[in-house]
Amino acid sequence: MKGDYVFLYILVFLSLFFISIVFLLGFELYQGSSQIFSIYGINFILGSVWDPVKNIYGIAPIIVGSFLTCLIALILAVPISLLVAYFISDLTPAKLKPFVSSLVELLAAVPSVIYGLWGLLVLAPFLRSNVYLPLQKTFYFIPIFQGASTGYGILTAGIILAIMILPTITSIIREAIELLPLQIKEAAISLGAFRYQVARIIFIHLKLTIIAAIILGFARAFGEAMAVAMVIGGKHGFPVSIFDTGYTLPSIIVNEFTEAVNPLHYDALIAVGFILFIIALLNIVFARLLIYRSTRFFKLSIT
Amino acid sequence: MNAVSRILMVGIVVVIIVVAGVTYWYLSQTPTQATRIKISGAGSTFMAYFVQKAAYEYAQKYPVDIDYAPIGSGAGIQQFLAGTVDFGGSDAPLSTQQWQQAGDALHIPVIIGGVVIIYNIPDLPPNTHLNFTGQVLADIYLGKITKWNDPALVSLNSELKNINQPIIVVHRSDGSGTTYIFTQYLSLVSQEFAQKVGYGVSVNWPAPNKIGGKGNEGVAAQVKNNPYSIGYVEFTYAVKNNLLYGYLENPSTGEFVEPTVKTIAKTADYVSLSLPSGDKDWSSISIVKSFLELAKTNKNLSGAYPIVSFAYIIMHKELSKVPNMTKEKAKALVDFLKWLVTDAQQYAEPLYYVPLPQSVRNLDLQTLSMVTFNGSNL
Amino acid sequence: MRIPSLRRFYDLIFVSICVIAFILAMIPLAWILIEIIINGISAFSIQLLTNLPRPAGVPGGGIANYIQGTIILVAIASLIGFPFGLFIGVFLSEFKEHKLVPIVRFFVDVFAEFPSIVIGIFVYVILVRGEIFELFGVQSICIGAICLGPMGFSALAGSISLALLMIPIVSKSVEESLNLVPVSIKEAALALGMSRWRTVFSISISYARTGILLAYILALSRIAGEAAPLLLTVLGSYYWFSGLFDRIGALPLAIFTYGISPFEDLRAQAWVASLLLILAILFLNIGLKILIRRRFAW
Repeated sequence: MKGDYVFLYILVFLSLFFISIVFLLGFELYQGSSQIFSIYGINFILGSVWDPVKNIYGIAPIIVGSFLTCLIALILAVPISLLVAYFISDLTPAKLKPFVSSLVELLAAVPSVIYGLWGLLVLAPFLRSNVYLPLQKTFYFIPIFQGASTGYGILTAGIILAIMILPTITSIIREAIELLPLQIKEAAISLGAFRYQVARIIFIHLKLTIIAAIILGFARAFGEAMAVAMVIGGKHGFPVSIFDTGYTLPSIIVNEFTEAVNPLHYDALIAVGFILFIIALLNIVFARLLIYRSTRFFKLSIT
Repeated sequence: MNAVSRILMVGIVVVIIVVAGVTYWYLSQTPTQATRIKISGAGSTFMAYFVQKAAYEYAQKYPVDIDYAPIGSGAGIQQFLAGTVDFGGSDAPLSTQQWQQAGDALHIPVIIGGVVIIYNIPDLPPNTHLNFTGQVLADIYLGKITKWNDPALVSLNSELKNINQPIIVVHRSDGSGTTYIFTQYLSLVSQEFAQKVGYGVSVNWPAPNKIGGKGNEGVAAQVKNNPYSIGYVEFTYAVKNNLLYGYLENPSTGEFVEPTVKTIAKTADYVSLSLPSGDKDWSSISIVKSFLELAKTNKNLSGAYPIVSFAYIIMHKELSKVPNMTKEKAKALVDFLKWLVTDAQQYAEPLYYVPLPQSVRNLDLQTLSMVTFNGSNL
Repeated sequence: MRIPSLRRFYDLIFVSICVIAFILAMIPLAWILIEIIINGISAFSIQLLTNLPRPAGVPGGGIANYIQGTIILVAIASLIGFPFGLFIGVFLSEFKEHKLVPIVRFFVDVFAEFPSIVIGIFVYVILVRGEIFELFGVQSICIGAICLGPMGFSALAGSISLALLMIPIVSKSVEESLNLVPVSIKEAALALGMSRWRTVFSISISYARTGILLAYILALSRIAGEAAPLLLTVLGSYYWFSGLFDRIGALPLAIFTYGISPFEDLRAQAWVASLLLILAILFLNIGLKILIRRRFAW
């Protein structure tokens, strides 16, 4: 019918418009950074000096900072997420389940500036007095523990990121657990398996989903800008101790973007955005591929 | 729908209506909101106290709202060049290349201020002001002096003898005119610093334990938050935050001078700068540089605090170059600036700045008379 | 029987670890909420809600314009973003046979996970700086008397960046809600001779209207807290809203700017702003979830 054609055309048009926005985004970032890449080539990524005065731009320490914070976040968040996911799906009575899972989702509802404010004014000083300084006093002979610890830096940022990605990973795993065919759990229980054995079996079945969840959690942590910018301390250079300050790719954009005075500095920051774009793209593609592959009938909504 | 969810629905609708009503009330609270002129500026945090106080006072008198966002001199210059703001604020003058890029940029010095060294050492008795020399500061920021009880520091301040703590060096993480002034000073007092680091709105700091702060207030906050840290801020920020600041060695007389409005003003007085016309290249103008040059030969410049600078407002001469500019806005901007460099100077001293000398005010008024909109004078 | 009791022991340990993990996960949540409530309430005053910001140290400053700014930005963003997201969601759910659908779904998924700061850069480059216009070699694009040009830091640019963030969120939720509509109902309508587009609007959307409303409100709560894109597109303001092409203030921006400042009074205002923001978000999230749970047996 006529109205249908019109309707379909409108929908297709809007969808194409949307896709073109995504392409435009990629294109603008690419174009803005082409200058930098033609000058520096691969040295942009491998170089370790970021000096806007001398116009030398290398983001290796920043990439290291990004990876370190995300690694710390994953190490802290993944085990807890797995346990919490199992806890919610199998150990919580059905009546309490919506309530308990809402609690975990609340963690995701807190805006990242508020995480940053809390991290800056509450967590960092707390960690400094109660965790970092005592750690430094007892392990002062290990080089990686030396250096000034201010409470701000890579470790604190990693901890906050862990809190932020926990709900993401938990909700993916939890939905996956609940969508597993019941026979698997029933078979295990009928053979006399205890809960920890059931959990192990479930997780073995969900290997691919777990990897996908980790990748998505990593992507979320990698792209986090505000909370990290407020606690990372802003240092250009490789971190020398675990308490050291540093930079991550998004936080350097927060700090330097509106004021990149010379055009090359501006281009360099757009190039950082471009790299973020590419890494985010790769992460999501991998994660989606894994999810589609392992579960053709899943319908996952990720907060 | 059962009773509870009906109540919830109604409740939500009521809340939305209340919120909408309150918003409307806000909007209607200022009946002349629509007729007030809004001018957008951004830049230096160095002069933020002064500009924001002036804007606040001006808004009580005239229907003009000057919205000044203190995001750093680097951002001020950047956004000015990009045309996203009506004027930029910066303590670093435009470089020759930037000035050429802008085409018709005007430099309008609006205030004079000093950069002081702040620190946070809990072990010291309250109100202990430490002495610093330029060389020692350069070495700290170069990373050559890393502990508070370093002999070089102890020779200036015996109280530091027992403080065996690493110095946490706080610097600006954003593009900063204050950094420009400070690194210019450090480059002039230390060859090594000039070679290794240089000066600019954003430099590569070699010191090991460092933290970046966003804006002058960010540096002040970081020094406050971190024991055993040192930082550099515009004088007002040190006072307003009850932070201890150091006495700096006067290279002319060798005395250690306390930063006060008077000593900062003295430096500006001693240096008789021949300032170019507002529409020319100002990249080589620097009170710090001129003072240190003078101090090499003249050993009688007592009572002068060395690190002093102008803060500039940078704008286009032909204001139609700024997108969304109207003749009304342009006139309002020029009127505000004329007021800023004359009547508003009364707000300088209470805020720990130094008001402009008469000669500079006259120069500014002359510069402002050059501003045009679509060719016609304002 | 030793072996079963050993396993029982392991089991007990495992369950305890799970409980501990859950408690560990809840500690930060409780801590943050407690800090916000304590700090926010202790610094609260009606003045804060009615006054404009004053320079630091000057008493009587307020956050009124930030509240207004957030409401305006979110309202305009949802005006742009919601219809867009709705239509894309409809497309993905009701027209699955179309070849374009898997591609669009892929792009929506990808866009949903983008760091918000990258979207901020995008809007900055395209609209604030206006480089898209340079791309086409014109100063501005005019349709009759309405001209679009580089708009500088502006409320409109901020709203557009928030709308972009909103589109994938709305689209995915709408798609999910529409997928829950029983096919039989749609088929019944089609069998009675209703055109497809009428089916979509009168039947599917109305059946799923609670889910769609929920999607809208959840998306609102998500973008209300975003600061990164606003930092690059709006730059913040100390005055009331004065026009779409002027700068505007917003609560998340104020929290960021005041939070990193050294002034106790500004930091206190940051806590109050956080309190207001989180109350609004909690209200939207929880209040509406309760509502929805009554409708569907989730």
